[in-house]
Amino acid sequence: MPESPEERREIEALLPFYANGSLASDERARVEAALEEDEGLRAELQFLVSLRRSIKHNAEAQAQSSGELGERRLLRRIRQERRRDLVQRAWRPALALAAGLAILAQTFVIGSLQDELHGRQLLGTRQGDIQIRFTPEAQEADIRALLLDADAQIVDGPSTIGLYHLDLEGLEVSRPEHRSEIERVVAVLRARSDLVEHAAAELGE
Amino acid sequence: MELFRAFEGRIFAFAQSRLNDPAFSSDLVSEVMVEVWKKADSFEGRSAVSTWILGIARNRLMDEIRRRGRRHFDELDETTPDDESVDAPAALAAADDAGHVEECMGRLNEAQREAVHLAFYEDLTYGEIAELAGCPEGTVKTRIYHAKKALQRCLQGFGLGPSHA
Repeated sequence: MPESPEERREIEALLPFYANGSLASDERARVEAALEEDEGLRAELQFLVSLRRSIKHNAEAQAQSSGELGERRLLRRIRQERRRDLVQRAWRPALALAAGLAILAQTFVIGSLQDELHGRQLLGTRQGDIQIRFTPEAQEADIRALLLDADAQIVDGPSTIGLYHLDLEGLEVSRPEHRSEIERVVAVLRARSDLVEHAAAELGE
Repeated sequence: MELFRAFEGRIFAFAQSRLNDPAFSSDLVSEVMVEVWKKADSFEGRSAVSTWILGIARNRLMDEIRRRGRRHFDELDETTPDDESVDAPAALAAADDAGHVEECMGRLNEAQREAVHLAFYEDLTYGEIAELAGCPEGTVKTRIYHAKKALQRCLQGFGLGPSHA
């Protein structure tokens, strides 16, 4: 039996980590020696083992896998981050130059330069590859399923006339080799006339 | 994707243990995995991968807790009296019931719930939990000690039957 209340309390504090198997060998030996002599500690350990089993059961029941949907969602997020990173890298030299000039230039010049850079960055922002308007009867769940099937996400809208702009996963209308695939997706969207009133690729100039 | 599959459930469960908000927890999974992808180059291997990833998740959780205006859990009082006698057999009987345990876990303060989750679901060492929570190892042991007492008190009510719960 532990010699003092303090020592017993120390052993009690180690018991949860004995129960989860994470103690170093010296501490494990110390706990095992105390357990051999103290029935109260053995009862505590039994309680902790049951508790751990129930906690694992509860957490595992909650932690259901989001499956393929979760993986696609993550891939989409990573692609978005890559695009953002590319845009930032492309503008880094220009921004560095602007910062250098700022040291020399008059305040109004700096302001103009920053405005210009900002404006150019905004022009560089994509507004979506497909323009779409849904039927008034379309339900949110059906729209969601349609967009997930098409690997599309809403990036802008609605406009005052109910237009949304979509981005397609891994496709860019600015790349000629992607255009036929984008047109194919548009055709698929148009085919859902119960949900889609209008769909068109934004082929630009 | 292997990393995602390995950690998806763990991050979700960790977030649930703190906030119990499935929609947020689900979003957090992809937020954390994107951050892992971005920071993979800077991982120096000083801690286990799981501790590193859970640490990222924890930082995000703390941001969310602050954003929601909840009290930081370190401020919570952990001095609940532990000297009340506990009906150990009753508590033990109830500890086998996952539903009772879930209810009693919900009554712990956030710091205790986090520590218990990390010890009993993640099976982390007290050193790893201390590293994650940014507190001394002794604090982790104390938190779990008080949590265990609180859980025993709560569970004994179920173990004694419906009139005591």
